[in-house]
Amino acid sequence: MEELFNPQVFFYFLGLPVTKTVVSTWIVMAFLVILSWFITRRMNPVPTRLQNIVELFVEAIINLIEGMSPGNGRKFLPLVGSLALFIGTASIAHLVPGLKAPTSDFNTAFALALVVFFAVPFYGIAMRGVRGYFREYVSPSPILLPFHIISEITRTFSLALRLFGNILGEEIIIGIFFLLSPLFVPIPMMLFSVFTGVIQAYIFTILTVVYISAAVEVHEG
Amino acid sequence: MIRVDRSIVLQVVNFVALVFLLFRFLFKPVVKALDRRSQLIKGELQKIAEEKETLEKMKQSLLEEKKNLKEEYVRTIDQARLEAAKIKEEIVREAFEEGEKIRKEYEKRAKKEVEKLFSTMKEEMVNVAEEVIKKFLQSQITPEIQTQIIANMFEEAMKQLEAVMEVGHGQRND
Repeated sequence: MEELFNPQVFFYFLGLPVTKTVVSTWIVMAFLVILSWFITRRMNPVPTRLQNIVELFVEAIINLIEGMSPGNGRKFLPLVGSLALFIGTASIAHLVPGLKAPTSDFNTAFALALVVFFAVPFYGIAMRGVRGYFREYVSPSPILLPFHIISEITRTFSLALRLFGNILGEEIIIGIFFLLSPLFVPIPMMLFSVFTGVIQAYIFTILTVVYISAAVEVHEG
Repeated sequence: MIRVDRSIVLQVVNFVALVFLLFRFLFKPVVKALDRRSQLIKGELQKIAEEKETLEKMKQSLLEEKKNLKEEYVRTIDQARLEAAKIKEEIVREAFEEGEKIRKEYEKRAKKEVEKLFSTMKEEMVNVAEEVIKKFLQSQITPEIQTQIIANMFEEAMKQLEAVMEVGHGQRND
């Protein structure tokens, strides 16, 4: 159980601890990048089965963004699509023996939330300008400025904790089932964890889209 | 216990790197492929629309041509009918004229025949009269007999005249 909260440190890189989570993240990243390269190395006008799946995924993400922020589907696609893919894959990585779900480590969940935290003003400023973006913090009244800042910070923590808690909870339950009956009982739970992973990826993605859309949206008056 | 350590920096860097890598190897090619397909479909649709327009124009032109041909056909038929009527009229008129000419010719011929017969009759009558006078002079004929002979001869001459007249009338009717 201690391993779940304090992952094993393999080595230090530039003074930064390379934990089991980081190594698992690299493996997940390598898997995603190699798979992406493999699928997209030859894009056919008539798509193959794998290409179809990838196109379906990309179109779904674009449509999700367009639904909330029309005209920005392709601008937010790299970040939002990467979040969805990474969280979805990372959340089920623990099903592979020897791997740890990177999202069950608070450092990963918080890192992702931090990326979103910085991406929101990045897109907001890029699309509305510094003044336009920060005006939202003092509207309708400057008194609301601290509340806006608190809201930004708390939602970042909420994003991180929601993801971390759900995936960790899943891992803990599967671990307990393994301890009680290691043969067949954990299997349904492991299958359920796939579903949970996809749901968490969807929630994290959709919240990110909501936050970014709100930041780039121009409010009248 | 939840603990945030310096590995968070690595995770942020990892994720940012993943965003760039996925953009390079996944999103960019897929979006490009989607755009290309979309362009292809748009091009095909445009081509189809153009072909449809061309076909529509062709159809209109063919319909116009068909209409013109129909009008031409009706006009030709009407003209042909008019010409046929004219020719028919001409033929009838010519036939009538020919008939009239033939009739006149026969009438003329019949008239000549009648005149010829009349002159023959006259000669015959003169001959008969000469015969009668001769016979009268040769034998003594009583006035009753003489009258009887003259009446008989006159009756005979009249019959011959009627026969000639009938022949002339029949020829004129033909």
